[in-house]
Amino acid sequence: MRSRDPTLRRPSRAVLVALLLLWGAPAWAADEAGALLMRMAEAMSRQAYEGTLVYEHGDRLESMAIVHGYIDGREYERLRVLSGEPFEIIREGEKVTCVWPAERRMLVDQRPGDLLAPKPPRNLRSLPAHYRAELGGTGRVAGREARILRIEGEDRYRYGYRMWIDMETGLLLRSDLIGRKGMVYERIMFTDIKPLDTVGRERFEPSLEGEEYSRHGDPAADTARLDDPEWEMTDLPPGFRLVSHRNQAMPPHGEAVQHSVYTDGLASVSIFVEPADTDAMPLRGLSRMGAVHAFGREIEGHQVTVVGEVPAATVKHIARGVRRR
Amino acid sequence: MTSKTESMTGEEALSALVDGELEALPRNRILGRLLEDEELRARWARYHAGRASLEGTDPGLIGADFSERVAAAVSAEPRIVAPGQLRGTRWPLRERTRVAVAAAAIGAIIAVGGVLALPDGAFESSAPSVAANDRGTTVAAGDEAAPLVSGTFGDGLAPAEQDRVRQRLAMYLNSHNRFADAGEMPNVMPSSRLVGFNAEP
Repeated sequence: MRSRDPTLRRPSRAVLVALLLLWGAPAWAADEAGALLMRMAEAMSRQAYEGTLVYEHGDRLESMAIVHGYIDGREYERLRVLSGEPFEIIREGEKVTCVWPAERRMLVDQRPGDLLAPKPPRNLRSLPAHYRAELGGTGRVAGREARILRIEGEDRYRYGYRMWIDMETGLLLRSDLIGRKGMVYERIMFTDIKPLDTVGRERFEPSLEGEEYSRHGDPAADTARLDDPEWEMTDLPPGFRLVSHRNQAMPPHGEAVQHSVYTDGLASVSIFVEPADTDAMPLRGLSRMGAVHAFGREIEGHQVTVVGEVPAATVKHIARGVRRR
Repeated sequence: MTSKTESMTGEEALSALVDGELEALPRNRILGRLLEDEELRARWARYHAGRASLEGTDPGLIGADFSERVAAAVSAEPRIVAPGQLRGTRWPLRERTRVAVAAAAIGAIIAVGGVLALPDGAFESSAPSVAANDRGTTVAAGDEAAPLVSGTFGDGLAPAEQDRVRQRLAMYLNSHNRFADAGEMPNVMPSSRLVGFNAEP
């Protein structure tokens, strides 16, 4: 017989509602975090802005001036170093130009457009698997109010990110790349940023004038897509997928090096395989620079080097799974 | 004959240090003086803040960062004699060595990236242990003071080998950077890394 006593039924309803709210809260929070991430991705690609930022890695700190725009469906960016030797990088869609004004030297590189998994670059539609996002509190960066977003890797093969996202524009004001135990490997932060309504192409001209400088392509850009690679990766960390297999001539020996790229959606890893009997310095074991780890080993007379902005465990794991087909 | 750096006034040398234009010997000299002289350290910070202001960077960040690093380096080398008592005195060899070590440490902080090459498996134990301050879901921007993990490719090797390793890895890194934003999340990290690597001495 069903009880009709409301004093007995009300608490159970309240408990049910509370349980539903609790069950739904994490999903709602994750959705909100995901939405903020998408908004940031859109703003960083489409919004015009200029500012000054600092890039901190290891014991070093570089300050840079940046201007960014989106003109006629193409992304433009100019990054100019403010400290030490003059150096700037200009990106126009897929074309990247590096300029060393003191040496009056330019290097022009066209990023290959035939990636195996083609998709509009810098177009985040969902949080990649093996990461979870969480909204944090608020803070101020470069004098602007920001919402803090934390992205954590679900295992030891991924770094975490902590991002300060401008509440008004959605622009990324600061990003910390975080390893185990909260160690910060890299930090990039705007010290000054100004959203712009429009920006002209003239803002993306290299600072060098005249004809007295050398202009050449990147020797490493002499590449050919590889449909049947000689070497394969047999044991990848979860979530990593192939982006590109290429053969490229690598100095000093000029022989073809197999270059394979994998990504988990946020981070990427390169695997280089080349004959070990060259004059090049053999690389054995682990090295790092800021957040970038490299791991080298020799397999069947070949030097295998794995490089990426991933934890040490990832480059080691991938290197140990490299096999000749 | 007097070299350009030897003929510099203290002010010029300090300014050159801020701009990263001092060669190793005068740099070490002025770093030694920075250790001795609190007023000089304050002036260094002002110069740096001035330059940062000219460049549009945030002097607060750089100034605070430098002050913390200098303080850490100096506190790691305990001083026995107060700076004001040092004039006209000759330090014992041990003390001079300590100051030289501390000056070298500051020099490394200012001018040279920390360099590290690790044997297989050595990373986990050699990475500095930093207190986890990333556990809370609400963190203020000013609370994120975790030191950055240092280290660049090739340290611990003989200089010639170090150069060769760095050259090799530089080529790999440049090639990798062409694909480093293969992930979908837009950020300026790949370009910044390229800048950072090019800025390495």
